[in-house]
Amino acid sequence: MDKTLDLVRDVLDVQLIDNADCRIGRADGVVLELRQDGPPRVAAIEVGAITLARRIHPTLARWLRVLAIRWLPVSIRSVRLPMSLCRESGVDIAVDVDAHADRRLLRLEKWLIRHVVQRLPGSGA
Amino acid sequence: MVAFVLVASACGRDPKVTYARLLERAASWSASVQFTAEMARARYVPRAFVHDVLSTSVNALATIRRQIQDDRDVDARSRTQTADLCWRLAALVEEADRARALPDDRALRDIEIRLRAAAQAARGLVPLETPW
Amino acid sequence: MVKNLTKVGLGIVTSVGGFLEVGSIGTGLQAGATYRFSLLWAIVVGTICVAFLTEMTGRLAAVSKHTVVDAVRGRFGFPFHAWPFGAQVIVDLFVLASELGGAALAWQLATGISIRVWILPITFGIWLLLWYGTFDSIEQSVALLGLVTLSFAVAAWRLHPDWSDVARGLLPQRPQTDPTQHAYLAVAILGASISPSLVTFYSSGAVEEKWTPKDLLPNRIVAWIGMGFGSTVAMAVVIVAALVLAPRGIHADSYQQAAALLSVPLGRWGFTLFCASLFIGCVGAALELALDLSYIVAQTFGWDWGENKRPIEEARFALTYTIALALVMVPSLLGIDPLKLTMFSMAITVLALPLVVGPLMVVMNDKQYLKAHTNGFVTNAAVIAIVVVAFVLAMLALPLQWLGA
Repeated sequence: MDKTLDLVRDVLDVQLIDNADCRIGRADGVVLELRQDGPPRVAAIEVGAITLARRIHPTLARWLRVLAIRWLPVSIRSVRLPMSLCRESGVDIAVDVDAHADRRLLRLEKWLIRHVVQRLPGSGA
Repeated sequence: MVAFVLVASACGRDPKVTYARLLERAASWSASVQFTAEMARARYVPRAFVHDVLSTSVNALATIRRQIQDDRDVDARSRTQTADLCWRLAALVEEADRARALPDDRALRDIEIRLRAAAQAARGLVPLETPW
Repeated sequence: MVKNLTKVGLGIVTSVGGFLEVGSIGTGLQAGATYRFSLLWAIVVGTICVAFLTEMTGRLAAVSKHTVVDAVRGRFGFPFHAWPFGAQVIVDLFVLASELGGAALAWQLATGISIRVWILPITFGIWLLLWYGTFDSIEQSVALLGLVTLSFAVAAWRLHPDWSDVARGLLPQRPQTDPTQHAYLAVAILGASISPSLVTFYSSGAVEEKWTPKDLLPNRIVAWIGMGFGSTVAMAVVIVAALVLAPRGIHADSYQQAAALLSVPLGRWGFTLFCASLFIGCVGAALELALDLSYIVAQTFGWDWGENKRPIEEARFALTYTIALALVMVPSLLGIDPLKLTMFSMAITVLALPLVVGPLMVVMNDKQYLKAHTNGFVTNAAVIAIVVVAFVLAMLALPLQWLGA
């Protein structure tokens, strides 16, 4: 990353891509680590619908969490990606992960492929 | 700004124009049926389309007739006369549709002229000869 | 040469969605039937606005490899972007419902069988094209088949209009009767042409086709040629309606009143060509809108997307258009008139327009996305003018719909 970084402009809401240039979501939130012996540090990028909903209103995030627990077959818990894995890639952020191998990432996508799309003809399975 | 537009539009809704438009829509349906019949005689359109136009026009004329009858801004005598014209038009078209025939052009044209004259009168204009 | 031809295909496909779908054809018929040539200027203004917008979004895609939605979410953040996103999803769903209804209506006109019977096979057919097809195959087939709409241009030429009369219609003029309805139709024509989905679809298509900065000049030509194609046919619709329907006093309040109009200049083939043009225009627009919905949802949330990929590679993208198509069938199954649904859709399209076009002003001047290819003075002036037009339309749409419909 560059020495000076505009967190809101250059990190928040930016597209994230993995090692295979696969889109894995957007930087829905930024996690700061508050330290006693120094200024706050950008610790991680947070990806997930709950984080996004919280930016609209905390109550929306609570409702979404309850609905997801009750109705969704897969967890939509937000994922934290450490800044140490992130680097600039044009206007995007490249994260040093393999989204298809990492079980925390693309959970809904993988579930839909396994339980819905793969069963339909012509899906390319 | 929004309030201004809404108030202006509320003031701008002229009941005579609304009534005249209803009559013109009914006249337009008469003209459409005549046009479709002309194309059908030339074998330019299929029978199924003729039926579609006739049945759609019957429904549309029934709606227009209801809207005319419900229009309290117009005097009862005018409403009754024009609603009756719509009813006669719809009856002509429906009868032709049931008989799988084309409706009488002259009768349709006659009703169309009367509806357009009534529309012109509603707009406060001197009735003119229609161009067709 | 082949690559440049496929670019023209994207321009034509985009313009089909803007100028040759159920709403544009319907308002064109009404405009010509009621006011003859005096609303042609609205099509010209719409064309100029859309050509500028598509050129800009094509340039954004070619230089940054990102779409309008990518850039707006990235620059403005999700709490702001939620508004244009939400508005555009609603608009796309309503307009998609109209287009499916329009495609089914074309078959009803041709066969007499109700749209309720046709809606399911047509929706399924469109889903099959999206599921099995690629962006390139869909684009090329719609662009080729869309050429059938040139029958309106041929019909207009055969009717020998007074071209000086037509030319006068290219400038705004005060109507002799019903100025409110005239204004309403002008707003409806502009709303049908300057659709937010054209902007987002074109930029997504340019990324799908992997445009680069070398494609900037072709992009400029294609944006104007593509929109020019659509607007030529749209103007021909108005001219034919003015010469066939207006003298007979037919207002074209429904498609049944207008479907035979090509029979006058084109004889026995006229009716078939009208139904074919309506069907192909609506199917092209439906494909574009279904894809646009998936594009904007996927790009907003950062999912993998692309019609050139197989469904198994982007399940959420593919299931978005699948669910959308299933939902929007419902109005036609209930027998709602596609033209009435269209007129309502156009009013809400116009309301969403400032939310989509406004942020473009900022994005197109952002050097991080566009590097040395940011907007110049002329294009910035054009965007400001378009945003002003969009706001004015948004203010007028609902009151005029109430007065003029």
